[in-house]
Amino acid sequence: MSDEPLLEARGLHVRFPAPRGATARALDGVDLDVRRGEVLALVGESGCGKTTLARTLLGLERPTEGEIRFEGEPLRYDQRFLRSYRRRVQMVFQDPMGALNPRQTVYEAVAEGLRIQRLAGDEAARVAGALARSGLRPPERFFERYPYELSGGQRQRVVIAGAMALEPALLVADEPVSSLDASVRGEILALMLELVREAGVTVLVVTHDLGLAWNIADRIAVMYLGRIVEEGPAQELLSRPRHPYTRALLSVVPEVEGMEQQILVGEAPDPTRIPPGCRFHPRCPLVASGEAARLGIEERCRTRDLGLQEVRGAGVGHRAACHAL
Amino acid sequence: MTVPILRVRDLRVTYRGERGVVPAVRGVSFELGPGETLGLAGESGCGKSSIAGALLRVLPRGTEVTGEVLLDGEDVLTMKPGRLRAVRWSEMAIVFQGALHSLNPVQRVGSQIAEAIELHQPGADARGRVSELLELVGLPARRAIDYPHQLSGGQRQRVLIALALACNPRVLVADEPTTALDVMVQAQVLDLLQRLQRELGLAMLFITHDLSMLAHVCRRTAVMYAGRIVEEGPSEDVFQRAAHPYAAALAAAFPVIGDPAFRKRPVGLVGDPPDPRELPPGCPFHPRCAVARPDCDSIEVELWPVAADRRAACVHVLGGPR
Amino acid sequence: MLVLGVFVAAALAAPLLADEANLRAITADARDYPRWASPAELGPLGTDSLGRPIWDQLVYGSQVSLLVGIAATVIAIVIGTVVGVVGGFVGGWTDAALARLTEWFLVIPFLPLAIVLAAVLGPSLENIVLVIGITSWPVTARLIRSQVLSIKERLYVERSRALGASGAHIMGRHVLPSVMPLVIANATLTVPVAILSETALAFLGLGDPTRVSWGSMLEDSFSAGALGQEAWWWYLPPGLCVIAVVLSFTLVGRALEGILDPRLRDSHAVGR
Repeated sequence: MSDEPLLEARGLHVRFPAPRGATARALDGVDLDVRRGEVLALVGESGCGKTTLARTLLGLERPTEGEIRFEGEPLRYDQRFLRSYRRRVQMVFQDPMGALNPRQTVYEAVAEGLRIQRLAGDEAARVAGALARSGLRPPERFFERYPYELSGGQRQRVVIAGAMALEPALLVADEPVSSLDASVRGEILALMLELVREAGVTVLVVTHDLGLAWNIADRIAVMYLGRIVEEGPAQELLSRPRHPYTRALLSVVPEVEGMEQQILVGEAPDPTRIPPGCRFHPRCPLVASGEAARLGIEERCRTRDLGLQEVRGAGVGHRAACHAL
Repeated sequence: MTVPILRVRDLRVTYRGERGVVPAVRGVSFELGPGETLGLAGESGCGKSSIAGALLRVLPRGTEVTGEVLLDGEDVLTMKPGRLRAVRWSEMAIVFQGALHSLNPVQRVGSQIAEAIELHQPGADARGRVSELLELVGLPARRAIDYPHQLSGGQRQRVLIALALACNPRVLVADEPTTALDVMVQAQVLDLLQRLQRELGLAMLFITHDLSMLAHVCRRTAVMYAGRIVEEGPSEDVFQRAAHPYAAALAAAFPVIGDPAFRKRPVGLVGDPPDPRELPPGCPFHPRCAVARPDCDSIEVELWPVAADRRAACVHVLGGPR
Repeated sequence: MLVLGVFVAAALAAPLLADEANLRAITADARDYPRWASPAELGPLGTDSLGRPIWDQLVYGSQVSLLVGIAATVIAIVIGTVVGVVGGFVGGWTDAALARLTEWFLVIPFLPLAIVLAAVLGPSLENIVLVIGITSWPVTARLIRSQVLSIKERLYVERSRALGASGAHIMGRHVLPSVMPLVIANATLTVPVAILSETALAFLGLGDPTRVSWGSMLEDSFSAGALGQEAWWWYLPPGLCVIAVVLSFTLVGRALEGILDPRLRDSHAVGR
């Protein structure tokens, strides 16, 4: 792993017009590094902006503000640059059925990227190779199949093969297994780890599932209301979460033993009305329990916004955005 | 054990459609005592939702249902329509998944709940009961005048729970009540269901694909595969020390955070859940089974005791050669 | 399909099956056929008030009806598809402008426009085709546009974009193939409408007076009082022909839809 990040995002903002003249701040100042060869999990609840962030990093969404650098070079939004960029950065979708054109055969779906990118060489061999590497063997047997003839797991493998055929440096996977049956998920995740090991691809996986992050991620970034509120090495972050939001999120996962449940009230907050101060304070257990007042930080929680800061006494690169630290 | 309130014997559900005969449930038996909780876990197509439909007889016409569903000793499957209507909801109610589809989008949620009350208890104070029910599920009573789309996913699920409780049932069937909800909201709804189950002394059948959830919610868990129960026992045991290789694999699909055994080691099963129309011969799990024996393709094992209070359907449980 | 084949064959083979000279019986010197002859008197279908054999009219009428139906449909579908696809795919003000234009054409009542145009341009076959063509494209355009809009939002289009595809590629590989079945199905449904329109126009006396069509036959029979004469052999055959052609086009449209969709194709195969 080299030190220079593969992908850097600095101060990303994405705003959408919302009904009744409001503005939704889907991304509200995101800084993120994706390091070469790692599996980074971007974790959060629906509406936290994680999918918008993934789309923005892929260049499918244009940031209102901020910059993305890939291998040190800033992202541009002209057709030519984007085409070459997308050869290096590929995407895997949540719903593989929707991501495949029902009228295209498996072969066509996998070859599409090769044709768009006008990659020279033996197309059939590349398609076969990509399918085989994605665990569809023998590949020839799948060439003429249509998506509806495949199982969910196989479809997701086809989508992965289509992305891997371009030999990208970064694979962005948006909830890659959440639409699949539980017993099939492990195989797809194992495939992704295998691709990291063997094809040297870097993976950014967007998920709501902390168990999945524990399963495959090297690092984790937790998002809340358009901002990353905690990031760090997976093992460290999941065993000693520092941000109260991460702690609450972890406590309600059924697979976590021996942690008292901290069920937050309310639902995914509204990105058109981001609270002032720390964006989490209206739901924060520290504020609600009076702990923040005891620490003498409650005023700051309610009024002062803050960014990620290094957690003292934790491993390198464990950062969180909380006044209590 | 007390006298079970719900006793299901050799339940079979077979769909007959254009695309052939689909044996969705192939002989399932279980019992539920008053105030007991039983989890039913399995993947898509394993037949778990067909069981929910069969219990309340809400499956599509032409579906063949055999066996017995004894509710307080009375067979739901042979009830006359009038008796069935009376029993539905006032004895046994269901909370569906997908709260948006189960609610009428153009009717206020309060009147939808009131409708259920008036059908079963004509002349009751429906309005007062609606407020009471909404408070019970943690919604302010003024929400009664809202339409479903004005509520969030979690609130809609609460409305569905209120709807299910409208007629004081003694058995509650919850069919994937938290699927499609965010983790935090999921926890809220689960918490509510558990609280209600305890306070009202409900017998609850909780159907889900998420085996890990059942360890918290239900005392006992049954794991289904290809239309049959392959393992049943106390939830903790099934989740942590499954005897059937499928149940073990399903449990492994929900990694325990903090457990190094799962760190960077995703575990899955090869292949996909079988198509109920084309079940493999013998034990239907054998093509995906890592410990299958040569004879697994010819014998389908019945549930067999593993320990006190635990049963599994696997040749390895029988022990020894055969 | 079979019925349609018979009609197309009849239209193409008209000169073989019938005698064109018989259509001009009025001007022809030799009136060798009796008037108001019933099929029993003169096979196969009898004659009209001027002694013209119904059979010959019917066969030549199929030529006109099918020609008008198909030509007008081609015009309508081409305009409709182009407007719909461009509007839906490009979006923005182009779409807004095209949508207004479509609505504008959509609200013009068909018959008055047809009457005005026929009056201005003169009642010729070409003008009828033109009139029907330009009044029936807006429906197609709206249908295609909504389909394009829905396809544009599909995940596989996004995937294609993530693979680096340009707009043209997405249009060619995903959007057009997906709307084509709809276009074809829509075309087969527009043909019968066009044939009916032609029939209606001809029935109102706005058809090409030099040609016989099913519509003009109905008109002639009506104005000659065939209903009162109980000369069913005059008005029934063209009416039945219209119904049969319209129905068969509709059925063919449905069948095509099935053939072009791989999912339906498979389920058909299973069904068989």
